[in-house]
Amino acid sequence: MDKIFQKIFWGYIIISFDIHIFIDILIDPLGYFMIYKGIKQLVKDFPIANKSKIVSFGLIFYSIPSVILDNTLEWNWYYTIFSFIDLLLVFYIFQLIISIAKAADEFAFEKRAFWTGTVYFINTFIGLFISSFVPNLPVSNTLYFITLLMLIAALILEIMFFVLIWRVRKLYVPINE
Amino acid sequence: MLKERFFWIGLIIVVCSMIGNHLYFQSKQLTLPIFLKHYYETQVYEDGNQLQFYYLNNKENPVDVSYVSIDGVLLNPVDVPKFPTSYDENYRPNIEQNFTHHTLESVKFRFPEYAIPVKVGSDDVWTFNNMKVTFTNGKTLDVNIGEVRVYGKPPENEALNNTYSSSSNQNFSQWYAAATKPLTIEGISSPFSDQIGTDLFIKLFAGPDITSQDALNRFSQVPEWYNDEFLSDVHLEDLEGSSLNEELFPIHLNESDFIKLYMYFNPESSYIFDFYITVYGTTGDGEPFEYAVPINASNAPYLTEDDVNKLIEERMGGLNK
Repeated sequence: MDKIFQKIFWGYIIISFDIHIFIDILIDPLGYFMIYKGIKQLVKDFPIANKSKIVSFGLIFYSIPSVILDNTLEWNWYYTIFSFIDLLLVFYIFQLIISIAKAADEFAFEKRAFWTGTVYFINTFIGLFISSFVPNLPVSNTLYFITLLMLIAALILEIMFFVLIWRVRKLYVPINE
Repeated sequence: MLKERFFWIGLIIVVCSMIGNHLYFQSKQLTLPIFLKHYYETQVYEDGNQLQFYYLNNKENPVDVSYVSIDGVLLNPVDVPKFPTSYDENYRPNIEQNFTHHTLESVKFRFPEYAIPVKVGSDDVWTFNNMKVTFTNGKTLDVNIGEVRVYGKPPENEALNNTYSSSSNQNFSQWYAAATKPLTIEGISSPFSDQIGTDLFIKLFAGPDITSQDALNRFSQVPEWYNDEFLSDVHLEDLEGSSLNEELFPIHLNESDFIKLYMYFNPESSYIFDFYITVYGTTGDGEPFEYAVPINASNAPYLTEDDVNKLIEERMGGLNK
């Protein structure tokens, strides 16, 4: 369990940091590959991991153009779809973590994962919903303020998600690694 | 357990909202910029006078004016210095105003003597209403920009002695002058009165024949927009004077008698003015005279979001057509 979630954790770290020196040197496909490798080892004991396995496998390839592309306007739709698939992967990993916590009889951890996930997705969808209106709204300070709040909330929730992945390592579940 | 159904419902709502907003955004895009109407009078100088023209542009993917052709005269825009330190990605040096989907931008042209069909000191007038504008995307548009008259000579101004003029704010300016000799003013004419209608409202106060506001009010016709709200917006009292009308004339002035003109501009107007109205009549010796009073509210038009929508509606008969 320790090694598996370390892989997933570092995979996410690689994806989250974009360091562009001609190309993105922390390349996203590598991050998704590590997540895929980690999840693959869980499929036997947790069938629910199958979904995240498929999605992370798909993202290894879908994320390839992002290595050379800067976040430019012409590729707007590519990045929008990218962020949706990535969000789906986050959702499946939350489900996986909750299942593992359940299997480990860690009720408090299960509850914490459930609530972190619930708040994470409510905030994300509200944020996406509001931001979809931004191009058609007059520029105002209120809008800036709301956007800023949503971004800060999203950042905190992202960190909470990472912490969750880091902590799952310590749960004891007998599996055939 | 987190329910997957809620994830998909959330995602579908977000995607629908994105598509809807994207379509609405697209419907607001102009195929090409829309030029406002300008009513300018200017004179030719050897190295050229600059005239500024205003147009509505898309905020996203704006186009620039590359060059224009007026009666075969090709002109390039005067460069606007750009501040390289700006971090705003939407920053463009010629933006005058920002709106939700559009910007009001301006472009300046220089009209030097060698390029245009009017010579310094001559009695010629070069009048144009249209410009063939070529944009940086390669498209060319024949646009009506109002009317511009370029004169060879400066306007006459000897019969009166302008003692005071100011434009204290955008929608108001005043002008006082004293007669340098006995005069009979027979009228005041505006070169673009047909085009701009009541958007320019001129009040006249002249002595000594007319002494009371009652006498002035008798003929006065005030445009609708000249109301308490307007006056409080421009921080003005309702100044004495009558609207311009034929019954006021002729007005006799002795030497050093005053004439005052108050000029108000309709704040909702999208026209841009920079021209002269002419005070004309005869002097005591029976010689005709003319005196040109500058009118300008041109420095920068101020539009609201509503004005912009109205303009687009007027010019394009709806959006994106």
